[in-house]
Amino acid sequence: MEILTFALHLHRMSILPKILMLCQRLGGEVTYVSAADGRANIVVAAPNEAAHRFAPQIRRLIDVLELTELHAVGLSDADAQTTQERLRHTA
Amino acid sequence: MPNQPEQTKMRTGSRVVIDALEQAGVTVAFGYPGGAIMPLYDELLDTTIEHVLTRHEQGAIHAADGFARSTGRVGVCIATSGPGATNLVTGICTAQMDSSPVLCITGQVPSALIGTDGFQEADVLGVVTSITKQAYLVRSVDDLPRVMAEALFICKSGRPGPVLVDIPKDVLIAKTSKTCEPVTSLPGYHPAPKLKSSAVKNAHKILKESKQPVCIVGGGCRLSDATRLFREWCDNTHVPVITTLMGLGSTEPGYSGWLGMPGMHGLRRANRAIVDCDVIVAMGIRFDDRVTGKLAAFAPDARIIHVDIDEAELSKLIKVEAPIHADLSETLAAWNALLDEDPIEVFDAWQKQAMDVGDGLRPNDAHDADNIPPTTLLDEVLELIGPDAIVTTDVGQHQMWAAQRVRPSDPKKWVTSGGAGTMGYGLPSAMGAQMACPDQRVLAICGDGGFQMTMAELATVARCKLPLKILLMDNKYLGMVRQWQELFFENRYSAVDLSDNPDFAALARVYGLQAFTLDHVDEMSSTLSAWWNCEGPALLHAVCHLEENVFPMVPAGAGLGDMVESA
Ligand SMILES: Cc1ncc(C[n+]2csc(CCOP(=O)(O)OP(=O)(O)O)c2C)c(N)n1
Ligand SMILES: [Mg+2]
Repeated sequence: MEILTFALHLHRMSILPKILMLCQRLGGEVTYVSAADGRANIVVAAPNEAAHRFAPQIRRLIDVLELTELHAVGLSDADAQTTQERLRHTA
Repeated sequence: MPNQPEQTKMRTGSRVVIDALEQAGVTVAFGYPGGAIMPLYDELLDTTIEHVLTRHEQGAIHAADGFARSTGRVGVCIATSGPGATNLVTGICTAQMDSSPVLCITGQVPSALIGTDGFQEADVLGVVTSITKQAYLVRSVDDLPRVMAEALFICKSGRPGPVLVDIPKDVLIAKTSKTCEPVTSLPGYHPAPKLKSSAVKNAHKILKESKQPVCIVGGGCRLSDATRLFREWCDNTHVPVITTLMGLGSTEPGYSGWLGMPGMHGLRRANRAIVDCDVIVAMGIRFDDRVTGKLAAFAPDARIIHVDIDEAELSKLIKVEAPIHADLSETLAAWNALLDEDPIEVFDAWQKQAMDVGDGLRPNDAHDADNIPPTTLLDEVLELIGPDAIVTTDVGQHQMWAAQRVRPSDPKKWVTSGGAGTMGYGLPSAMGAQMACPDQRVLAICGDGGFQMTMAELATVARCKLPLKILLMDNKYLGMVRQWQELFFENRYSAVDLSDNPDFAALARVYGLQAFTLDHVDEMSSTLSAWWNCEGPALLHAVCHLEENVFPMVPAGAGLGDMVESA
């Protein structure tokens, strides 16, 4: 399992259930959600082999204005490297 | 009174829908009426849009999908609330899996009844959210002009896909003064990623360094209207080309380096080339498991270049060295320009080597003169109809046999359910294609199982006098499932027997079609020619060998190198 933490800026909050369903379909377990005023924070425990699919698939949903993947400090260098590859911000 | 200011024009919700469709150039809609959608059906009487009443909502959405795939335009279907909308679900999923731009308009119970378990109420938004590109429940008529504009834009732009607009009955009746210009951008939606020239240069460099590259081209070529540019790229490089089930028709029919379809029922040379190549140029494909086989054994030594408009496809399943996140047409235009500037040594020798591996197709086993060998039949039919006819298929063995053999002159002429593998797709999608392309010949290739899932649409074909032809390949089995039971479940046939099929020719005649039966090899060419050349819709009931298998075959979970070519 890999713990993924997303900070989202949403155009419409009604997209939130779609995001949570997607996380579930990708094999993740959503462990934390907070959301208000177009902002949402989501923590998902994701299977290692699928972890790289979460951010791009969430980002492509219409109404997701911005997705930032946050990383806990203290990752090993190797982990930091792979997660760094996934870290892309939408324009 | 000439000096009076022009009054704000009030329109009903139904009129808003119709106006939006008309302005978007929609000429045909397929659908089925019912209580909640009645205001829209009333308005349909006063439009230029031709409405085709299908006999089931699934028929309507597959027809809209066939319309979309054969033209690249948005296909439209309409259904009522509750069961009408839920009958669309399989078709929505089919369109979503193959990125087909289908717009579904559904009626919903009146706003005041939503959430009360009202008559014919279903949470359609909840049902379709995960299988649509976007879905809306419209709460106010004032929102409707904007929602329709957004829906049409989303459907067609970027990576296309199905969009559903669910409209409560009172919203269809209510009036609004609101209007909306066509939408060309939306917050949080990036359908047209900017091509980075450095990414193309990088891909070009990798191709130049390659000794044995292959290109795998998929549905993205058709969706991006990139066929001409793709063929130019092939002429510039002579790279051997593999066309996925969705990409068939992308190459020039006579292209000397066409390796055919890859994957589970792919041709020997296509799968071999994937195993042997050192570079894969993947264009508009999504590395479906039916294409890759066991991922660890897929192109083990290859560097991978992947062009896709959908960033989520890049490195989703296969680690890509050179991703190009862009529209395929734009990419190919830039790459072709680069090839002019900095030509590469074309890959003729490797192309010949890859082609010489052979297709691995073999004649049918059984020699039962009273029945028809299915692959011989398909060879003859495809020869007879030529590369310019639009071919749709259902799902099963007949689909794979056809995909192994068909050489369409354009990817828009090959319409099949790939990602979803939806039985029942063949006949209604052919109706949509024939409505869209009245001047073209259309053939639906169906199995006896799938045909019976949507055969009520024969009534629609007859009423609309659609001159399409149906090839019904009757092996009296759910053949593809039977094949798996034979090969992987020790011949234990479970629920695949269709030996009591009806007389399909008689059935077609009852619906008003012409019908022919073919059950003897000697009569093949004369019957085929009578059927294909007759006027109007006609069905050919081909009584085929019962237990033929589709080969080559890569068993599920095996690598592409582990192809089986006979039982
Ligand atoms: C709606 C749906 N249900 C079930 C399946 C599973 N399935 C795939 S192929 C097949 C058999 C198709 O039989 P038929 O239409 O007779 O074609 P054949 O394989 O015999 O050519 C079945 C049941 C499916 N693809 N779609
Ligand atoms: Mg069959």
